[in-house]
Amino acid sequence: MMFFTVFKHYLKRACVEPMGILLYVLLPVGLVVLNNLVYLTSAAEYDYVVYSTATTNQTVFIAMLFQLIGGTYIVDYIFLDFKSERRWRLLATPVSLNTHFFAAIAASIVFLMVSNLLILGIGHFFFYVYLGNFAMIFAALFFMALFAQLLGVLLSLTLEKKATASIAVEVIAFVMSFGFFVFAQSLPVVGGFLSTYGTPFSAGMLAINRSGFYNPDMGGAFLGLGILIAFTAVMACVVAIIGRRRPL
Amino acid sequence: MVIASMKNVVKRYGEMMALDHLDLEIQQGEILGLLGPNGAGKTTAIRALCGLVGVDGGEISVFGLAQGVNNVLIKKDMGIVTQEITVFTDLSAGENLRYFGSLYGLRGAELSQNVARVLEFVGLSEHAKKRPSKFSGGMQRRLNIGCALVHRPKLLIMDEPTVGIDPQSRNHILESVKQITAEGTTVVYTSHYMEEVQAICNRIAIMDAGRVIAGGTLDELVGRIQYEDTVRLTAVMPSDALTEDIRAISGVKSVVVSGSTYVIVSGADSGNLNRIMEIAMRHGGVANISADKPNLEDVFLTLTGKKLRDDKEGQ
Ligand SMILES: Nc1ncnc2c1ncn2[C@@H]1O[C@H](COP(=O)(O)OP(=O)(O)O)[C@@H](O)[C@H]1O
Ligand SMILES: [Mg+2]
Repeated sequence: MMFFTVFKHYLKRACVEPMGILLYVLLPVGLVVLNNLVYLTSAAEYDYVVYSTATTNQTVFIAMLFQLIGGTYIVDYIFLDFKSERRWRLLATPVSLNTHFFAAIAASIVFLMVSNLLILGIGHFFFYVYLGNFAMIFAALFFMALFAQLLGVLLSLTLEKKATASIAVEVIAFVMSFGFFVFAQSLPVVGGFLSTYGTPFSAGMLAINRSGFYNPDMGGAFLGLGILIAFTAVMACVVAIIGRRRPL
Repeated sequence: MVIASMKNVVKRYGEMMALDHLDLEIQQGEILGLLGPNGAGKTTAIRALCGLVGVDGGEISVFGLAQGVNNVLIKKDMGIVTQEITVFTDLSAGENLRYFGSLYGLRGAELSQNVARVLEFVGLSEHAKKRPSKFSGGMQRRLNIGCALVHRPKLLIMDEPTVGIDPQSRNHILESVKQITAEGTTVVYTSHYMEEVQAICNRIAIMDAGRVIAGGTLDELVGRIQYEDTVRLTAVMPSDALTEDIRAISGVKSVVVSGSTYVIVSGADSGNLNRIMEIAMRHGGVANISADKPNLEDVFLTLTGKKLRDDKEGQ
């Protein structure tokens, strides 16, 4: 009950924050529309009769990337609410700080999932994006978002400044996602492995792609999802250990 | 009746004793002023009282219950106005009040009524839909107070609620505090401005270096110190004879003359004001006379040898 009250509060704040809407909703939507328009105008027509591999890849990539950068949401909430004077006000209420904290994480995840489902939806309905198995996509997005929020928590607990923690989340997100290509091309063996199984990002992409049309392989999809869940679980343990040592 | 008490409370930050065997009692229905310079430990004392930080020793009880960390039964009847403005800047004034009310379990019509009442009370009814980032400092302070009132606490703790605002907003806040108590809420009012504490508090506890060094009503506190009367006299016809006659009064310690103004210092409770008046009348009359009463500043100075606040700090 209280959890839901606090959850709604954080969701509302995410929805009324103009910078957040701009960076985490309008920007990825714009990127998807622009990239796909550019691709489709230059591609030969038979490349996308029913679905397009290229637009599917681009769109899923953008959705996953923004899911990962979205770890900055919890960084913001931790610094604004729990590592500032506001902390005392929240502590004074009968609602425990844990409730505030977990509700903030839940709200961030829901906000980012809605935003990224919107991106995939736009891709699907306007740009020939094939969405394979919906449950798989949903699960991959969820664990990606959870991983990202846990990463945000970890960096917020260990770094002093909000700006440093936010930038760290962004850098890690970009390295993981673009590294996906760089590794694969520059280091064929190691890189190939890393860019398929080696990071949460690649595992999430694997899960979605294998459930998709150009290599429908649910075994591979579950492998990807399993790896992503394993990364998330390891991250959760690290956060729990650090959180116990340097509590919020 | 004692509504809350702190006995022998110790709180350490490393080597530093933020609370050094602090004793404090809060009576039901009063406005207790907690007066002390910056760094005295007022905020730490309040946090310990509210159960927001653990302590290293001593006993704290509120509403007859032992205070511990996250004692929900105590928290739901307490309100805290933080020293910094801690409202949500991305939500409107009304949304802030609603949220804080809902954290204390208020719902539906009761919540809406309480929010409306508080908006009215802090004079923000017209600005309910605006975000506090658009507010003046005084309005933000008022909202900051309002957020602690929605759930009608029995015990309200205010930590320097008037820092950095204009005199008009300050008066509004001081008046509100009196009204809150009139409606039955007990208030602990923290400040390093002795004028405020003098103006609204029934009882005062003076804090320094983590402990309460004196407590009581204003009169009791002032009565405890050995003070001197300072009389400022403007004579109609100043003369050396007048100066000599005043100097001759027993108990007078010094007379400083500049033009027609005499500044006369005499021992405490010497009753010399009347004598000075009489003599001045005989020497041609009194244009103006005033006597300084000792105040909390003098009490603090006497007890600690320090000033309550730096002179350079403006009000
Ligand atoms: N979290 C903390 N860590 C270390 N020292 C602290 C902490 N909080 C307060 N102090 C110290 O405790 C003393 C009392 O502080 P505080 O209670 O804020 O005083 P006041 O509210 O009267 O200005 C100060 O010397 C302050 O530096
Ligand atoms: Mg303070």
